[in-house]
Amino acid sequence: MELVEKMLKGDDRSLSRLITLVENDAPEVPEIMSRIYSQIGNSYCIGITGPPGGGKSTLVDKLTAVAREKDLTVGVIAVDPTSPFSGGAVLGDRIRMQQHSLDRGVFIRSMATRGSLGGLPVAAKRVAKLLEAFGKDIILIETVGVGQTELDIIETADTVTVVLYPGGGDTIQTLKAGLMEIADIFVVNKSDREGADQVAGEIESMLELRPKDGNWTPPVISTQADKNVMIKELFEDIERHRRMLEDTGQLSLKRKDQLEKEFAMAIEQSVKEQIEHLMENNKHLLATMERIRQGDIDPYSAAKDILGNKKILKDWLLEMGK
Amino acid sequence: MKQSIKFLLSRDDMTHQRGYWVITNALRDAGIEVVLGGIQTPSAIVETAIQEDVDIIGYRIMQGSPKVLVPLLFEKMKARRIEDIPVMVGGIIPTKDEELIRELGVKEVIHPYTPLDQILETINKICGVPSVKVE
Repeated sequence: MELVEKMLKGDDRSLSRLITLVENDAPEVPEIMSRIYSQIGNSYCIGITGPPGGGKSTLVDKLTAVAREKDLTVGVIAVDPTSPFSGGAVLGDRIRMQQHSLDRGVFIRSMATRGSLGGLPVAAKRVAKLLEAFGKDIILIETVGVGQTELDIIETADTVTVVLYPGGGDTIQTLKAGLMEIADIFVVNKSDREGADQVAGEIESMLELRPKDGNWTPPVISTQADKNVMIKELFEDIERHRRMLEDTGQLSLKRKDQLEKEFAMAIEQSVKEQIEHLMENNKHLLATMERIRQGDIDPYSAAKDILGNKKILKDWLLEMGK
Repeated sequence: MKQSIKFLLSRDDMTHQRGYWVITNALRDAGIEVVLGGIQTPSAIVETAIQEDVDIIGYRIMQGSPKVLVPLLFEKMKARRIEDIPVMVGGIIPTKDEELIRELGVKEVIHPYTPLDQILETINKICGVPSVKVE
């Protein structure tokens, strides 16, 4: 596919267009993903999440600068919520990353959640793979997360950083809602503000209650992203976490698990689309649905009948194979 | 999957925030994904437009001279081969500059008194996508 070849040669507009295709779930997606698979495996993905107002975008901006100083290239996925009423979105994270706008070593893409409830758009993982295939050493994904439903980030990121801040609400409540378990590193940003020590203290005490992992104790680091305070140290913590994952074999295990999940998802998605198509076009299904609407048969028995009918299933498989 | 229009909103300075936010919210409420570029030079606008694969560039000029900034923007766009992206210019555009920048290729010039539904209709026309709701 020409667009993929151009992207692999370093053309950023091609990368951008591929991201759009993946975001819109275009029919070329399986082909695109299949083609880039040989090019991935060399990036490291860091998730930055936490309640709104924590300075996450500024943090991403400063971490990007640290990475650039080390001559690492960076891909950033900045996520903002889609309005449930209009379907539109205000994507305002990259405004905090202006210092990198003319640096071709940094590629920043804003994404709206588009109906996904887990904190990341459905396409985010694939977009991360595209950035990886493009050659980005580090991928930073920034998203809002306050609790149990915004946990998509753990599927995609290797290191998850949870960012809290004084005045950002009740720390204990926030942590109890689920962010406690997913964090590999805790950041208390805006640490020059009053109450910062208390936030750090509350995190530490909650950590006491968390089951201990022999390999890793999540550090709690206080930063001031806007003043570039403790950012290099945060980057070092991330690198430390990465080394641990590599040394214990957890990183490669995680990648293998992810591959399995993607395989299952690819099949599921294709089957789902085929069934949707059948529901609209297949005469058996349409006739059955009419009977259900008339009250002649209940949906569950109808489903059981159809799925138990070998001839119908064979016809479907033949249809799907085409 | 429903495709959203992606609109890059950039500006040359921080004055008159209210109008800027009124537009931003109106676009979002019409179902558009608005990328806030912030205060950007034409070069930065171009890089952002490429990375975000935007459908339209919206450039809000309040203090700068449109007859300097707009040609510069088009020059940068041409250098990076994205002249195909339509450009709308808004803000304080002196009448004498308006004709010039339209001739250069600006698709629409928005004034502070331009009604919102007219702006949305223009976007609708430019993109030819029925998903933009006009209130």
